[in-house]
Amino acid sequence: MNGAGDPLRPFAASSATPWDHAAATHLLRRAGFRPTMQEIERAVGAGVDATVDRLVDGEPEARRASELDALGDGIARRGELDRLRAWWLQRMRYTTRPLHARLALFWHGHFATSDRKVKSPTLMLAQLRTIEAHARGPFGAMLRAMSRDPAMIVWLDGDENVRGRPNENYARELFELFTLGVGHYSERDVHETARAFTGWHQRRGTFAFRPRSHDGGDKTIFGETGPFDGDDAVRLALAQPAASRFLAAKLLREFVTPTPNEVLVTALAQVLWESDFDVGATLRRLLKSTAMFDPAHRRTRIPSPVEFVVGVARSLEIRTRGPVLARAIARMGQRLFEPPSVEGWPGHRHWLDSTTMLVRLNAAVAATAPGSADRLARRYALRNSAAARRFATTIALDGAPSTALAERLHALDGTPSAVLASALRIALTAPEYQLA
Amino acid sequence: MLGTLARAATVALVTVATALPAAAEGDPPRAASFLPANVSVAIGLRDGDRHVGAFRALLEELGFEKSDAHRAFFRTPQILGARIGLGLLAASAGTDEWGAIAAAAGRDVAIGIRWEQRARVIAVLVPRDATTVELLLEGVTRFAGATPDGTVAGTDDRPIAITSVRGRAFVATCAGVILVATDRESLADAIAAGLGRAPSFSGSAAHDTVENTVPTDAAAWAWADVATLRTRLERAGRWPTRIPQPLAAFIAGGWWHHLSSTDRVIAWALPTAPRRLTVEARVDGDAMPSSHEGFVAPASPDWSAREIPGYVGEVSVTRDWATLLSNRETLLDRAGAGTLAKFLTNAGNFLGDVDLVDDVLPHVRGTTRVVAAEQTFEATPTPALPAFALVTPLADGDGRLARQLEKAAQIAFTFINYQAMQQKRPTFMMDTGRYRDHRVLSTFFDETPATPPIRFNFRPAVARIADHYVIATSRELLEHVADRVLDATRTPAPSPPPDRLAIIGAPVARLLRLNREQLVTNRMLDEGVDRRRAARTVDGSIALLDFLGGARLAATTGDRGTRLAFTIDLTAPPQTPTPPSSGSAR
Repeated sequence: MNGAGDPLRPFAASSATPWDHAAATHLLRRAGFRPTMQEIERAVGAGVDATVDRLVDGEPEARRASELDALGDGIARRGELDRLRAWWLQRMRYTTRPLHARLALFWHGHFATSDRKVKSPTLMLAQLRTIEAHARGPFGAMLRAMSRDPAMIVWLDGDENVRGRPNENYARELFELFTLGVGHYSERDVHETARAFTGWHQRRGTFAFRPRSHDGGDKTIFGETGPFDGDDAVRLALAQPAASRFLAAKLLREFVTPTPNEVLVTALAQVLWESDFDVGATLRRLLKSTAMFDPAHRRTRIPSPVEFVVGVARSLEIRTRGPVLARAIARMGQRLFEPPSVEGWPGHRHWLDSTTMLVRLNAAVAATAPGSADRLARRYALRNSAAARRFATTIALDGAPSTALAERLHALDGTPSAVLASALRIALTAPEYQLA
Repeated sequence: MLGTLARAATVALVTVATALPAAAEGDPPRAASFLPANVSVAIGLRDGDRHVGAFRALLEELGFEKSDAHRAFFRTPQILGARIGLGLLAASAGTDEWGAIAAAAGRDVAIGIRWEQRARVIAVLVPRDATTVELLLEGVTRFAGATPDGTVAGTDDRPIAITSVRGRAFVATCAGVILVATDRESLADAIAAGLGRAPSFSGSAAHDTVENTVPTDAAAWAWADVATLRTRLERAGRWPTRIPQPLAAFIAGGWWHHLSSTDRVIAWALPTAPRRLTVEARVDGDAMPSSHEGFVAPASPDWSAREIPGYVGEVSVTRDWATLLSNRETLLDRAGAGTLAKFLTNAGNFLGDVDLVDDVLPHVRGTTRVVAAEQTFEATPTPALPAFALVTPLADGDGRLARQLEKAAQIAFTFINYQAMQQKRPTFMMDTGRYRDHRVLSTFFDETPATPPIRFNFRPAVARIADHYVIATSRELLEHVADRVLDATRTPAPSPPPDRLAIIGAPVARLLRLNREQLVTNRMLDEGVDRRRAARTVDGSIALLDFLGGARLAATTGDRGTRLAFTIDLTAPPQTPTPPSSGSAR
């Protein structure tokens, strides 16, 4: 399907939906974090295709992010989980590969594993590394890697899964949460799949297959019978029609709209199926599509606390203190490496309540305190109030503030940096800013 | 603070340039005579220019300008910019930047602060080298934006001109003295005091006390009207009658009583040796009430911890703990008493039928010390910490208490092991042995990983050594302490001050170097700076410690007052860091 009714047909700029600052900001925000003005200008100049290719393929990593990356093992080895959170957030803040960072965050929620049970920052970091390595690749390879991931094995009691006494925890979540969703598998499929994973253990933080614990007998999964092991179970799960639809819906909710319709899900499922579940290729198609830039999909998604805080820091080019970021994000309801359950964070509307909204507003006010925009005003040579107002509305409100906001912004006066700080404060605390 | 001083100095220079009169004949006036009598804080600096010169010579002698510390903190773009500006200014006056600083420090400086609606500051400078100061000011006036702001009455009906620097500082000269104030009224008051038309601080009883207390060779002195400051803070609800945290209350409660009842504090600084500066302070207050008697206790005869290999520092306090604990309801507020009650309950769980307050503390008389020393490891934990030893005198003739305390320690170690097992962490093995004929209970890990976590810094050991009880985080430190205690028992040293704190720079620097990578990491994450900048700050801070020969605080609390003495020794850093000399860890 590639005709006029195909929601995934390539985006073509028109007078109704131009490729402008607002469209570029929307793409960069959805496929990463809130962008800087420099990133917006660059995207506008490069066009949709080049920008999406750059996002998907990634640029050489910034020196700062590479320096940070090298610190992870030491932090984890010392067992400093809070600092590991700060480390991950600082990497997101300074990376030149924002889509890769967003994908890692997305899969962390998908394969929700908590240190509350794993009790090993080293294993949590190893899982994150695994996620990062497979984030844009074939989904099947990621599933096979996660089935061997020591943190996952501890989390879902893989060490207790032995021949004759299969533990069904991982098998159940493999189908319910990772590949198919409820209603697309039977209890027998779960039981037989658990047998396939018997003996898939971890020892001292490394995957260890124990042949004596493995049940090598025939199993019947989704109607097929054979002496299946874990990899076979993954292959059989992905062969189910529900798998591509399950993953397509999840990707759409993350990157396009919180309420994808059937047409959209079916179209993206088809792309996934045809690409053998290649996430990078699927995202490339999705991010270049008409659906991506549909005005009805813009500003419909409530960003997670991590997206919100990292986005504010990146777009305002603020030097960030990792522990401060981590604490603010935790108060907003998201503790990295400690998702609330195997289902991860519910997301979207669940992110906001009267308490977390207040924390978001406080963070926005703190980020735009008087004097905070001096550097930004100098960097972008904002010489008058009008330029400062224009800058603030472009990076924070897609250049289109509501009438009421526009009036408030217009009333601001003072030095360019003071106007910029005030305008950003008004913008960041506005209801429309809370939607990505 | 530095910015304020820099602005004040600039303003002072501006004033002299615009209105420096001919040098007065005879003895120069005293700076303190220009402070109004009603200042709440007065600070004096004597012969500042000479001390600046001596300080410069000391920095050269120590090689400070070639150090990482200098590179980290004095070669930043901001500091370099300021130094270039100062250098140009100094060159225009025919001197260098140090000469300019010395000229501004002058012969005699006094600073007074009055608290009304806000702090009002008056600075008085009596220059020695008026010509250099005048030349310096010619340069400064070109940039400062100073404007005339009327006059006040001077001598012989000759008005004294006042100059305003953007309304934030007001300056004038009077009889060769430069005056700077944060408001015009204070400046007028200072001139009136200096000319004898209003009461001056130098004519007050407070100044007489300063003159009678501060040694004549002191480089600087400070006096504070604590009664007035305290009244203001009490009105604002910011002066607690009792220290809320129990440990802090038992350490500082005596000092706090004197600070809460005194009307003044006097302090002074003395360069007592070529590389040593001593700051002393005196707080005289009301006699201790009976509830506070535990704060006044004789110190134990000294045993020197300084010779312990890898000695890092120590904290020593002398208290009558039994008396203090029996008065806890008076000394602590409700929350503090509650916190202490929880601690005593927990202690009771380990001590069994022995009560800490009734059975143990009456036998603890004298100076309790916490000593820190470097330790070596089979594999260095991350972070690497020093070993600590708590050493307390224990009058325990038949050893009954020591046996009971050893049992309590065994229960505590078992409890820790239980928690560690729950968390799948390594557990302690316990062992009993003897050292110099004293029974020692020690712990060790049966297996050390290649990259041990922080808990591998702690392998506790306990023992009764002569009339002391020792709890150490490593057996080797316990043995070193035992050596010092047993040797001192044979040849006791004179009694030291009751309360002491000491730290030695070099071993601390070595410990920080061991943890450098983690410190750099933490700074990168915590401050959001890149590796180069984080490393520069960490390395600079460590290098700064290399210059710290030692820092010591000694406090003596008597019935009616507290004396404090803080001494800092500077030293040339070693060419290469040396490893600690203590034995290997068990």
